Amino acid sequence: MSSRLHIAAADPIPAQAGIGLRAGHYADFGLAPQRVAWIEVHPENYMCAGGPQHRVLGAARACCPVSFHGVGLSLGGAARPDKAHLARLAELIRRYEPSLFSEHLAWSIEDGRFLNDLLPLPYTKEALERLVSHVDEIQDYLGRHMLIENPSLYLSFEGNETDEPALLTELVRRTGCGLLLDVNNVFVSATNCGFDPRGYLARYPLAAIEEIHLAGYRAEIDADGVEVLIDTHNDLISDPVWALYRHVINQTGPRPTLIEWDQDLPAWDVLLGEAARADDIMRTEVLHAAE
Amino acid sequence: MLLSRQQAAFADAIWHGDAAPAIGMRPARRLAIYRNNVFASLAGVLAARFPVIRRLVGDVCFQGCCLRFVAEHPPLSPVLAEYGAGFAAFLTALPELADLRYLADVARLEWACHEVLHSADAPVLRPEMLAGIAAERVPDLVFHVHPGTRLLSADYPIHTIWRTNMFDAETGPVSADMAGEAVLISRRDEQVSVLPLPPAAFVFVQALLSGSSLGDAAMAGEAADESFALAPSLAALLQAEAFTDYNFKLQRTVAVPCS
Repeated sequence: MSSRLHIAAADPIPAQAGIGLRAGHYADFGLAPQRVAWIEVHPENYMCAGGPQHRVLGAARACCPVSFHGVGLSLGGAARPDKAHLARLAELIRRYEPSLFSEHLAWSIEDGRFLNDLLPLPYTKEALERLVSHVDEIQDYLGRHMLIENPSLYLSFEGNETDEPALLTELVRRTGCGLLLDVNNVFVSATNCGFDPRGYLARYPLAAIEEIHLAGYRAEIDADGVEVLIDTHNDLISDPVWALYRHVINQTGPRPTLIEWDQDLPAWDVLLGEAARADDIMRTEVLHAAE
Repeated sequence: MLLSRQQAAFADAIWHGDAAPAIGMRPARRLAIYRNNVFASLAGVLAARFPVIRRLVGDVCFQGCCLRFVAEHPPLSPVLAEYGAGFAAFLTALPELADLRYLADVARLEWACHEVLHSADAPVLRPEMLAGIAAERVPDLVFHVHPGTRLLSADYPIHTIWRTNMFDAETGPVSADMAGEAVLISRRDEQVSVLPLPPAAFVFVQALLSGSSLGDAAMAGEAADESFALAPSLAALLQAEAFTDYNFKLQRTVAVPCS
C-alpha cells in the first residue's frame, strides 16, 4: 500500500476533468473511485485531528491524484499569512502529497476575524506588493509552487490602477506562481462589472494556467434592479460558461479541469456528467487544433 | 485610501450592517451580497452543527440567534470545524430564551457530538483484550481514555430531549421538569454514539475517566446506588469504544484509619 501511495504521489494531475469532493458524496465516490480522474478538496475541511474525513481522503489519495484548494490564507489581507495555519497546511501536504495547491486573489481575514467569503481587492500597486510578499512567503514556507485563482466580483473599485489580467501577469512574473483560471468567475465578474469576458481572456496570461475551474451560478436582481450573477456553485455549468471554456481550451489545449459544486449537492452522476462534458470538449478542441 | 483602512471599513460594514460605506466601490450597495454570503454561510455551519437546537426553537428564531452569534462572535480561524464552541454559552445569555433553561445543555451535547466526530484517531480497547487478566488484578485496572470520549451531565433530561428531536421514530413527550440526565459521547465505527448513563453509572464512569481504578470506580458507583451493577456498565463502555488501552494501578491504596 505504501509503495502505491508513493508512486501515486509522483503523479501529476492529468489534463482531464476532476471533481471537487464534498462530504455529501463520500459514499458515492467510495463505491467507484475509478470513475474520477482526480479530486480536489479544501484543506481547511481536513484540519481536524481525526475522524471519517481523514479516512476518506487517505483512501481517495491511494486511488487518484489530489489537489488542495485553500480558502483560508487571505492572500490580500493586511496581516502576513498566519503561521499556525501554514503549519497545519504543511502537515496536511506532507500527509496527502497533493499534486497542486491553489488559493485565491482575495482576502478574508481582517483584525483576526475570518469573513467566510472571498472578498474583493482593489487592483493597485499597493495590493500587488502585498500579494507578491504573501505569495513569496507561502511558497518559501511550503517549499512549493502555488496557483492563484481569479475571484468572482460583485463590484469594482474606483481606485483601480490596473485590471485583473495585468495584475495576475505581474504576480506570476514576480513570484513564479501558476494560475488557476475559474472560467465561471470570469463570466460572473464580467457580467457584474460590465466587461467583455473574451477581452479579459485576450489579456490573461493563458500560458500560466495549470488548472481550470467550472461551476454554476445563480442570477438575482440587485437593490438597483440590475441582474447580478452570484457564484453559488449550486447548479449546472451554464451554456455561456461552456462556450467560454471551449474558447480557452482551444488556445491552451487540455488542462486539469475541476467541476465545483458546493451547495444543494446533486446526485454524484450529475457531477460525473459535467466532468464527461468537459473531457469531451478537451478531446474535440484538440482534434480541431490538429486539423 | 490605504488598503488596510479600506479593508477595515469593508469588514466593519459587513459585521455591523452599514449598507454602502464610502470606500470607493461601485455599485457600493452590492456589499450586501458579500455580507449575505458571510452571514448565510456561517449560519449554515451552525445549523449543521446544532440541528436539535434549531428544531427546538424553530427556523426563524434559530436564524435570528445565528445572525446575532455571528455578528458578536465572528470566527477567529478559517478552520470552521472550530466554529460554534461558544454557541451554548451565548444561548444561555439570551434573555429571549431564558424560559428554555435546558437549551444550553442540549447545545453542549450537540457540540460534544461534533468534537467527538473529528477527534483524533486512536486504537480501541476491545473486550477480548481483557480476557486473560487474572481475577485478582481486575480491580486494579486503569483505563486510558480515547481522545474522542466525552462525559456530560445536566440538570435537564438532555438525552431524552436530544433523541426525541434527532430521530422522528422516537418522538415522545418530554418535560423540562424530568430528572437531569448524563451521557457518554464517543465515536464508534466512525459514528457518534450517545449513551445515556443512570446516576450511579455516571458516578462510576466519571471516576474511571478521571483515572480511578476499576475497583475504586465500582465502589463509587455502589456508594451512589447499592444496586449498581459493574459488569453491564463496563461492557457498555467497552462497546462504546471509550478506551484505547489499560494498565494496572501500581499499588493498592491502603486505607489509613483516622488517628
